Amino acid sequence: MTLPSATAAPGERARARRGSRGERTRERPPAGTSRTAGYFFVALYVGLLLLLGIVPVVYAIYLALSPPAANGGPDFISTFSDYRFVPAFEHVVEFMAFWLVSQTVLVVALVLMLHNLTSRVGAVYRFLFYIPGALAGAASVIVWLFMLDPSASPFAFVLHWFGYAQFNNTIAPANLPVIFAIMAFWTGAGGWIVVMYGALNNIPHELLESAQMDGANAFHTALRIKLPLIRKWVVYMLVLSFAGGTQLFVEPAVLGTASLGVGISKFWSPNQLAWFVASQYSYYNQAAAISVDLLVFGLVVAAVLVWRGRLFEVE
Amino acid sequence: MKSSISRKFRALPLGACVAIVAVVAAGAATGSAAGASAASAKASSTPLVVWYDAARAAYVKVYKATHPHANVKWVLYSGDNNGDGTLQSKFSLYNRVGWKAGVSPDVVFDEENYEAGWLGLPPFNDLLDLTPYISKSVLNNIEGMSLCTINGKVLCTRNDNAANVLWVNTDLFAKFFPGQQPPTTWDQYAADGQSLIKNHPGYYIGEFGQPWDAETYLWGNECPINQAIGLQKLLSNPASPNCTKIASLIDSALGAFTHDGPFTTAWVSNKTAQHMVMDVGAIWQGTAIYPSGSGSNGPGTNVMAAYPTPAATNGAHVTGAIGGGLWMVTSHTTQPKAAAALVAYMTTSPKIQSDPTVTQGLPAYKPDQDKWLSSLNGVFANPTETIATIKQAASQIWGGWSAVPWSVESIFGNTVTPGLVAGGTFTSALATLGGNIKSAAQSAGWQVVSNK
Repeated sequence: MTLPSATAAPGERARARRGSRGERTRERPPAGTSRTAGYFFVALYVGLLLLLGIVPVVYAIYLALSPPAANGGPDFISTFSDYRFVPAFEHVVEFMAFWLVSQTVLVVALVLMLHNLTSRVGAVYRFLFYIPGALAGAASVIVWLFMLDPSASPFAFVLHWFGYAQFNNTIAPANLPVIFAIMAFWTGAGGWIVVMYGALNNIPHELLESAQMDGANAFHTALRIKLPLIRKWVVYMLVLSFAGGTQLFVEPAVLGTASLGVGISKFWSPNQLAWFVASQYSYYNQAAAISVDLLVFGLVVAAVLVWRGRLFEVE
Repeated sequence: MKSSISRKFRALPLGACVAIVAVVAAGAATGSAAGASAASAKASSTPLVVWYDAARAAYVKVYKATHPHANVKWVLYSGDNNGDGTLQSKFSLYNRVGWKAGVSPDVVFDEENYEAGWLGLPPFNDLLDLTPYISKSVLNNIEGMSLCTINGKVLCTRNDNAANVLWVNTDLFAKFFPGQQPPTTWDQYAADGQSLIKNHPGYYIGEFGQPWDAETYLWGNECPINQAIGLQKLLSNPASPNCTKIASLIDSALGAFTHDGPFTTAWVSNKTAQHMVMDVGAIWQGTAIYPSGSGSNGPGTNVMAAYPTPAATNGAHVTGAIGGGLWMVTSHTTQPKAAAALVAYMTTSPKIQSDPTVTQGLPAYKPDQDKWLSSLNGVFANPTETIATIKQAASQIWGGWSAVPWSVESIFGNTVTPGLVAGGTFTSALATLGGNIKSAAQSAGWQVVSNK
């Protein structure tokens, strides 16, 4: 590997040549080894990104824009007029509205409160919040299926308050976005609480102490000092959650199977619709078109969030 | 951290494309490996690849015992259970990467009764016409073939006959309707329902709201809402009196129908099977749901009896069918003769179809039926009449309900059931159902008409 020495400053190189072997290693190794390792790890990432990210995206765009073969389904433009297209996007937007708002408000509120607790109590709560997140997606959906079935749920009385006597009442179409938002919240929020807590721990102690000395109470400190300092993390959470949320698939798919085909279609979300037309009708161009729509949707929103949230600005 | 948060969405990053690429790659990889090992094991000939479901494992055992030298590769799969789409997605991939003898399936068992119209029509066209390979005399003896005979081609054989009959709980019926006979018309059936609502609430004349109920009430009344009348041409007329009359009769007694299906937890925990005075259901439901040992909390043996379903509102003596499996040969097979022979054996062999310990449903192949039916002695209240009713119903399946490349069951479950749960009626859901069938048909490339 000649890269490290090639990028080293000329003076430094001269000094290194002049000095003894021992001196040289004392002077230069940190830069050299970390760079090699850095390139190595980045190369791994770039390789995977190319293979599983860029290439499929390029292929999807190519497929979406090329005309389908005879009997190969609609082209890019007529995909928009598919009778399942608009409802699927409506569903996912509704889901995102419930989920992103509840997740942002509750995660931020909970983590600010946690951070005020003594560290031992805080650690216990942090762990408790994280537990639901340890269940992988499909498993947590199964748990929720029991929770939502009035004839099986330990919390059936709560469901009865809402007037739900059967599982089919609970999973009425109008309830689905909220149900998926609740599922997503319980599996995702714990992880974000841990992330945010870490971010809060990075705030210098002196800063919080001086705020205290200036007369700020816990509430003021949380709102005026801590919250602005973790703002970028909140934006980061939104960007990632948005990308994941628009690709909602597992929850409606598993719920559809578990409800024995009652109440929820196999193309409830756009991602499901893409899978459905691709695997059930071989309409690959249509599936690619929907994937590209999702990608554009996610990219635009992420760009707005990054720009408005000044995510990559260095202070 | 990022990965744990987005874990549940990982299944399909960036739409379907990545998954498709991955699956194609994986399929190709496993395919070549399996092909290589098979080749080294038996260099002389390519094995026949047969995909079967768990319920058909007993058939495979019989086949292996009777054909010890057959070169067959048996592959257990989901059976496309509840229309899970396995076959469509696998066939789709094979059509993309190429079918390979000894790797891709030659013979497939399918649990979904309409799928010959899905896999055998565009854009798939993956099923072999069995007419040249199975003799006419055999084909003519298989009942319920309307779902296999598509545009003059025989694209599958029926494994079992799942015609609907009127299951009656003779004890409850005698108690609630003393001196009366089970209904023979839908009017009478609805009147009995109204009487139950008034005098014996909590008892039912049927279930309504399950995905297959279009096949129960609409198919059984000659409702032309899902009738193929040519290549990719559908007749769908939800406004036909054959559809509207039955819908309004069911609405008139809606309180006498349970909305819980026989496979829900509520059905078991509420002992719903013991509250069914009557139930229009498939032949297999008689043994699967009602005997006490069936796990559905049924009323037990010697209680239920089968009667003909009420005559259609236009006077025709017809019935619908719920389920029933299909044997299919793929058009890409390199051994069509051997594949068709296997299908014929599975469908007709008395060692399989006459033996109730091997097969659960009424054989579709007529010559095998009597022996199988004799196993019902001791299960039902009046076995002789029940057996006669079942045999008659098996031959009365209406042929105007077609195998098509969309699932009416799933459309019904997603459009009619939510409406019912929200307090709506069958009549109000009928137009929605028709509209959604039309949309599904059009997006599958079909032309839809409301008049012949």
